[in-house]
Amino acid sequence: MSLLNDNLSYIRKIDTELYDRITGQIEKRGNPEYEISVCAARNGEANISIIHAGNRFFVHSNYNPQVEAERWVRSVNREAGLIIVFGLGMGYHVQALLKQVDKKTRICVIEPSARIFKALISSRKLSELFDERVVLFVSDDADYLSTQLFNVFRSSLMEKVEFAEYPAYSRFYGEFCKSIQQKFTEIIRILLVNISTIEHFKHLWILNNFINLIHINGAGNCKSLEGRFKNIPCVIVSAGPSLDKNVKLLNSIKNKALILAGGSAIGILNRNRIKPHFMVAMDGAPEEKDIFEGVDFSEISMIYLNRLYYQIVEVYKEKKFMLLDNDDVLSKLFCREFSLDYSEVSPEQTVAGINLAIAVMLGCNPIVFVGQDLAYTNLEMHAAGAAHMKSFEDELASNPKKFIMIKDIYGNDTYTIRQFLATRASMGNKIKKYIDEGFSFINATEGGIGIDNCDNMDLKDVIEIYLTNMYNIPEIIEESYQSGVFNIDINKIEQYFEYIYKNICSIRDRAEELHLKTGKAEEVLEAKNFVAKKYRPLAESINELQGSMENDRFYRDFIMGCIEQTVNIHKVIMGSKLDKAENLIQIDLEKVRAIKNQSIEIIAICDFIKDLKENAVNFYLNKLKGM
Amino acid sequence: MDSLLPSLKQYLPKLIEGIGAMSEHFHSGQYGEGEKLLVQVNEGLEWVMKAYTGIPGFEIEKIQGINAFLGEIVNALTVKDYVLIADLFEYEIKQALSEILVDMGRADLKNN
Repeated sequence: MSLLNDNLSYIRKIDTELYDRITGQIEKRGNPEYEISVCAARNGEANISIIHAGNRFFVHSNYNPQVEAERWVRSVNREAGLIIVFGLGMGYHVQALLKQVDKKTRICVIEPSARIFKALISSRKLSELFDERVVLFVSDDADYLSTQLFNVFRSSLMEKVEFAEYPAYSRFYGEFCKSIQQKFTEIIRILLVNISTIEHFKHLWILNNFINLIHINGAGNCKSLEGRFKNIPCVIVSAGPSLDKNVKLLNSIKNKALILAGGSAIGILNRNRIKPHFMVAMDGAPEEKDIFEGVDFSEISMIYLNRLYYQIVEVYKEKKFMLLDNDDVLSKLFCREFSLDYSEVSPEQTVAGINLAIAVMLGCNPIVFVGQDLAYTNLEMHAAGAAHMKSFEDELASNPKKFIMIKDIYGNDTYTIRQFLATRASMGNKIKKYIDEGFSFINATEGGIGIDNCDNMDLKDVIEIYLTNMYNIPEIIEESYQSGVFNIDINKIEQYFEYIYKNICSIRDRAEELHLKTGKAEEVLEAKNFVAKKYRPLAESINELQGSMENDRFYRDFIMGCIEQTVNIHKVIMGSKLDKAENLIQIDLEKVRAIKNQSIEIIAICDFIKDLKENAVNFYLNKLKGM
Repeated sequence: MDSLLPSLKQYLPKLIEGIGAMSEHFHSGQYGEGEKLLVQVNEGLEWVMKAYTGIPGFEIEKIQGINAFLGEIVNALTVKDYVLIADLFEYEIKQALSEILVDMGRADLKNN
């Protein structure tokens, strides 16, 4: 049996996905511009020769690959918990790296060329090169690779990551290596933004959610707006500094396009006496109220996420339409209870993202962005007249590390921040998907860093070319409102919250018991002389309690909905600790600690909801019942 | 002329060490650092070769050997094949310079 077939059998045994991926690829001819062959270095070791445009290159040193490999390893940060190596070649450097790193270090190796990989597995025995610390990817698909790398990263979330490019690969795959790093870093950025936002707003969203549900009567259902604006253009207005340039042109649009505005853009439009058809409000923080200060909302309908700061929904007098995000389990439970249809959008951390989802849901086409700088154009944070006006210079001086210098759409230097880059990437990904579904997009911001997959155009040209027909937009809004307005008996709403309260108390009692038992189990496991007889009944009791909670539909639908993200973070941390555990007792200890932490989270959220029901919820229910 | 030999003997080991450091940078992918040292190594090599030809009994073949590899190094620099540049300096040029150093040591012993 040849070495190639031996190695393929070995790969099939340890990684069937890799085997499936490469068996198709290695038979393909590949790029004919590159002639790849195996040769011998001067010291007899196998090397790979690449002939391109009449020039011959070697992947490794053609004198002594081992010495070169050892030198390269010295430049790598070997303290990192996860090392991502670009380029495999004949594997000398990976072998040398394995000798120099900790046994817990994980090494992801990316080989973009199936032909080079075939050269390796035809010349060297794979099972002698690597051990279980290595995860190998043979692919030139940057999106696939960055996702796979992230999955490996998630299991070592607390560790440092080192990117180590093997020199020869910079020549042929320099741009590719850079794009993987960028995509991977982008995914981490988005994750960090999401986690930090959710942790910060958890309790506030529950409060807002409950009080907004109490005030649901008189609100319209966003479901009745779905598809009602098919092929009507939409202009999404954001508050970026470039809005100053072209805001006045919006006056000429009137009913030639649906105008959606969110956040601080409302104040700016108000200053310019422009009324959008819809204002979109989603922020759960009390500061969201500032946007409404001094603004004339007559004839402006509102689309709001049910996590919107509760004092806004309560007092908004014009037509308002309730929209849910996919993660809003509390509102979905309420809607199920009362057999209400609802519209939902993917949870976004920015108004721009939500506006985009709404415009698509309404059927608007084309969709035009205005004021979407995603940057501090002309060293300004917003267009003139925005709520929350701050000085960019002050921000830059007090927190310089927060800002990143980047080129804008005209090639000039500008500043942006991590969150804007995450927004640009996530909006770009969504736009790409919507384009496939037949939507078209134009960025008429006339400034900023642009939006991925979106062409730039001046707004006056957009108006001339795309916004030429008139539509009866106010009538469509009125009809949709009338067909979907909520009208639920307030006593039934009260009964619903009583049901929530009863279940919360029951879950809390079980979580308290779980906390006690896991505390005892922890003591037993930590003891110098571990006594299995003491631990076993505790473990069984813990499993039983956990099982009873997880089988409880209310726990799954309601409680986990409130704390899911926090629980997921704990699971990832536990995963990485389990990897490092050295024996079964340690494994059990980490698991018990994770369950104990989760029970603390459950007790905290139950206490919060109980308190909310006993105070704010009862207050508002009684107010509405006229008591 | 009398001062050339001692100067050469003093300088050659430093140049050889510098070549080692430069190759290390190139093999590790630290091209910026490597290129900085390359400038100094080239200047040093030029001086060594001029100085060596000024010494009675110098061997022309050693110079020709180094020159031959310099041509390859220039080609490698054109296409930015830093691994090859490192290899040529490490395994060819350094070897030739070490042989010159050994010859000068032997010449010393003969004269003494």
